Amino acid sequence: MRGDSFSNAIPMNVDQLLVRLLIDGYVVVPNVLNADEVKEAQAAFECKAGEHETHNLSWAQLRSEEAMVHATCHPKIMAVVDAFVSYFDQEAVLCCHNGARDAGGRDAHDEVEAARMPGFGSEDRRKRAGWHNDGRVLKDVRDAFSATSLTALLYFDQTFANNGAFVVARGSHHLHFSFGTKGEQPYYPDNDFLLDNCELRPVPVEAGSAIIFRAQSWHGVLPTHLKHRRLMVQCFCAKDLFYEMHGHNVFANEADFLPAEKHRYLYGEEDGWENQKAGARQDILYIQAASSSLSSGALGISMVVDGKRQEISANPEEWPYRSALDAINDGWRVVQFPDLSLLMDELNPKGLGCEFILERWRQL
Amino acid sequence: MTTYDCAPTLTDSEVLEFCKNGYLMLEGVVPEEVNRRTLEYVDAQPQMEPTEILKEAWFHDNVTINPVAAGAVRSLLGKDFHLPILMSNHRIKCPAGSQGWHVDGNFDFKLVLPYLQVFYYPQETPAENGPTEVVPGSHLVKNIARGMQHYDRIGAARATAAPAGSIFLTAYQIWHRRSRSTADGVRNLLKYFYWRTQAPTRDWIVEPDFDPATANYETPADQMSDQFRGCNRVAELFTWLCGKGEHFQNLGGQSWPLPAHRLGTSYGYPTELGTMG
Repeated sequence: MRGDSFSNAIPMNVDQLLVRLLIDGYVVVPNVLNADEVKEAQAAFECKAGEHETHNLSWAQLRSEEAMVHATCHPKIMAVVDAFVSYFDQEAVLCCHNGARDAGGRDAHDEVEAARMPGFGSEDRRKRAGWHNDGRVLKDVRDAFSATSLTALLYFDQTFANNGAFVVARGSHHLHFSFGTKGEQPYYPDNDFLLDNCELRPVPVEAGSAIIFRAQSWHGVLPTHLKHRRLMVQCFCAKDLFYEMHGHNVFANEADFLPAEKHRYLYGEEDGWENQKAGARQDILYIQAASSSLSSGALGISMVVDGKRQEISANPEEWPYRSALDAINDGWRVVQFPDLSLLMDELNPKGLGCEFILERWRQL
Repeated sequence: MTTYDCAPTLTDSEVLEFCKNGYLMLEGVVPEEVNRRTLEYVDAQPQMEPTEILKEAWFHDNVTINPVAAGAVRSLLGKDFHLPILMSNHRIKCPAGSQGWHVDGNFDFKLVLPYLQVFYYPQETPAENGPTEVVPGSHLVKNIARGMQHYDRIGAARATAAPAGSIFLTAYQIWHRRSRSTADGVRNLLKYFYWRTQAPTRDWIVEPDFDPATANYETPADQMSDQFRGCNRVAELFTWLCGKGEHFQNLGGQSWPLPAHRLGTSYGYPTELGTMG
C-alpha cells in the first residue's frame, strides 16, 4: 500500500505552498502519508521504541525500518523543499535527520478530552509554547545558511489547536531580515518584541501530514496531553551550505540506507563529505611548474601534511613529486590550476612558474 | 657624499654572468683577523643594525672597500660608487627553520643596476648554519615578498654556503631567504648597500675576444618565463651596463640575442653597440 502516496498525483499545488512558505515562514503539506502508511510508521516507531527503550529515536535506530526510510525525503515533502531551495538557486540536501520522537504519553487525554483543554490564549502563549528560532540554536551559523534552511515535521499522530499543536509566529522570519546581521552572524530581534508584533498561530495537523517551516521562523509547541504525539524531524539546506552543519547532527553518506531515487538529497563523498567530516584534515601541496601542463616538471614545491609544513630536500631529485601529474597519481586532487591570465604578459614574467595547488584528506 | 673608486676587477664574461645570475660570490676575501674582530664586535653589539662598525678603520679597509669586493662593485656600479651608510646583521641563533622566500622591500624593478646589496659572512657558514639561499636569475622575474611566502623548495635555488670572510654581491630584487640551520650556535650575516653615482659604461676589464653579438645570454630565469624571454632580459641589462641601453632592441623570432648558430652577423644586433668598446 505504501506505493499509493508515490503513485498518486501530489494533491497540492506546489507553487501555492511555496508562496505560503515564503510569506508565512511555514506551510502544511497534507496527506504526505496515507492512512496505511501512517499505521506502518506508527508500528515501526513502536517496534524501535521498545527495542531501544526510548521514545526519542535517532535515525541510526530507525533506518532499518522500511516505513521510516519511506518517510525520509518523502516526495511530497521534497516537492516543496526543492521548490523552496531552488528559489535561492541552490540544490536541496538533507543535512540533519533528527529521527523520530513521541512527546505524548504523560498526562494523556484522548481527542475528546483534548477538545476541553485550555485554548491558545494570548495570556499564556509565551510561557506555554517554548518559543524559539532554530537559527539561534545552531552555533556559528551564517546568515546565508539559516535563510535557506527548512525543517520538516512529519506527524504520525494528530495534533490539536489546544493540545500538542505546533505554533508559529507567522511571518517572523521576515524580521530577521529587518534586523540584519552582525558580520555574517544573523541578528535576531528581542523575543517579546517579536511575539507582540506577529500573529501567533497554532497549526494542528492530521496524522500523515507535515509542517515545513523556515529555520528563521519563531515557533514552539503547545503542551501535549495526548497519548501519542509521534513525529519525524528532518532538516534541509542548500547543498553549498552543508558545511554550516559542522558540529551538529549532520546527515551524510547514508546511501546504503536510502533508495537510489533519494540519493540526490544526500551530501556524499563526491561532494567532499568524506573529507570534511569530523576528524579529517586537509593536506596541501603546491607545485610550481614550468608550464600549465600537468606533466610539466616542478620548479618549486611546498607541502603541508597533517597541519605541518614538510621539510623537503633541496635536491629536486629527491622531491616527493616531479610534477602535478605525479601527485595526482599518488592520490592528490587538484583544487586550483595555474591562472593563465597571469602568464599573458610574457615580456614581464612574474612569479615562479605555473602554480598547481592540490589537496589530500587525512583521517586522524 | 662618501664615494669610493678603485680599479675594476671583473671581466666582460664575469659582468655578464652577474647579469644572468643576479649574484656573485667572492669566497674568503676578508682576512681571518678581520673576521675575528668583526665577530667580537657583533657579539658585543648584537643589535640588528650595528651601523657604527662602518666607522671602524679596520672594517672599512678590509670589508667596506675590500679590494676584491670593491673591485667587483666598481665593475658593476662604475667609478665613484657610494659607500654603505647602514649595516644590518642577520644574527640568528641556530638551529632555526628556514625563512620565507622574499625580495627586500623598496625595490625598483627595472632592467638596470643602480645599486647592489652585499652580504658578508665573518664566520664559516656551511649548510648546517643556515646560509642565505638565492634563486639565480630571479632578479629578472618580478615578485613581491607577500606573494612568495607559500614557496618552499625551489629547484634552482642555491645556498651561499661559504668559508669565513666571504662576501657576495646581489642584485637587490633577487629572491632569497635564510635556509634552515641544524647546527648549534649563532650565525652572523652582515648586509650593506652600495649605490651607483655615474652613468653606466663598459669600463670594467674588457676581454678582447668577447663579442656581445654572439655572447650567450641564457639565464636560469629562462625556466621561469616564456622561451627566450630570460636571455632577452639579460641582454638588455648587459647593454644598459655598457651604457648603450637606449640602443637595445629585439626584432623578434630568431634575431639577436637569442642563443643560436646563425649565418653571418646576428640579425638584429644593434649596430650602435659595435664592439661596445
